[in-house]
Amino acid sequence: MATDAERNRGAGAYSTPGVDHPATPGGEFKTEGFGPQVSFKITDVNFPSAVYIGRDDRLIVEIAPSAANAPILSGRILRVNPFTGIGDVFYMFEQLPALNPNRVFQAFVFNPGEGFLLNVCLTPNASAIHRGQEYVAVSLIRGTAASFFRVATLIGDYLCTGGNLAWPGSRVLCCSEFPGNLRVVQITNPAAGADWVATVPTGARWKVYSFHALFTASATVANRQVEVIVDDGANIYWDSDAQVNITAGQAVSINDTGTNVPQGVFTTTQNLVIPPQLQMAAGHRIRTATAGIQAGDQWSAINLLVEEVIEE
Amino acid sequence: MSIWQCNSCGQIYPDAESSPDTLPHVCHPDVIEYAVFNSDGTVKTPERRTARENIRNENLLPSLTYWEGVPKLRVPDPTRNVPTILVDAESVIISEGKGRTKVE
Repeated sequence: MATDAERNRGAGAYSTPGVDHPATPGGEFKTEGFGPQVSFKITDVNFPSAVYIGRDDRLIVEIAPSAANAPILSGRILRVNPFTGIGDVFYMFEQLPALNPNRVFQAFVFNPGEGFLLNVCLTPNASAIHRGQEYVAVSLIRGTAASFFRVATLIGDYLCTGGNLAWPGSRVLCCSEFPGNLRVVQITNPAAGADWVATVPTGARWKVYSFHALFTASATVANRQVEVIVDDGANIYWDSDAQVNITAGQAVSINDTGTNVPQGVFTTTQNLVIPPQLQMAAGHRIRTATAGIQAGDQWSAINLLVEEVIEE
Repeated sequence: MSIWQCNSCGQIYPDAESSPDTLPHVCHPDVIEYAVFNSDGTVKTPERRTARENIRNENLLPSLTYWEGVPKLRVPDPTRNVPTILVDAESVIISEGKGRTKVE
């Protein structure tokens, strides 16, 4: 006949021996509500990622912006937890400081710790950031701030609202690759009696589609002839002139685009031509040289339609 | 927003730092001696253009970079131990010209 001990080898009175699991003896409580739910092998493990961040490695984020923004860098790293000694996933979240929108590359270095880099993500923190306004490069580097060696390039592309950048997944492009940001550049009116010049700013490359400007001649008798010149800051590589003189008292709209437009009916509208799909590097200039300009003449409402990308 | 007058060419312009849409000031390269015309439109004294000296160019230096928010110039390493090094930037624009005067 079975003893009481034999009858209660399972979960309780008259439990089925060998089937019901015995209760855990007191003092061996196991929590299942805290701590990591999954553990990882940290030795003899297949690489979970192609990028391993060593102790002397850093992540560098280099941004060249032409719009105000303070993007967010985030990511995950598989590394050894210093307290438990087992591997777990560390989440990286960095709010970059407000960027100076001057098209100059600004570098920020992060030390995420040693481990396998699982992914990186960059998110804009402003609205209306268009493609062509903010080029971002994320790399793994080794070395000092003054001089470092780039070990791997993870991301190289434009950040824009609605278009986050991520590794793995995003492309690695040169910053001067179009399409860029379509914008109207307004040129400050020159002084009376002076021509105007638009210089491509440092860090930009323009594709010029057209420009429009208003030339108001004074009452001084003279024949003004508008000339448009494109140069690299020293050497002229395009020169185009208007077909009709501007006489005293006239206010004439000067328009320039990449296709030749015959003189129309309106004598107050003149058309010139620039090279189609004209690309201008930083420091190149588009300017007027008005033969016969007088001291009281005035250029105004000078607007250029350009497509802009960042160029180093 | 600050308004400045260039001491090299006399143009009045807003500060480029006021808006990313404002182009940095660069002087026009020509100094003009105006032509004088007769009443019938013929030229009495021809126009004369000469190259402007001491052009002010407020575009940033191409070698300028920011390291952790601090402006630096990236220049070739004179010792050739590394490709480039960072040095302090005394001026960040291409050429000062004759300077500028604040208008408002």
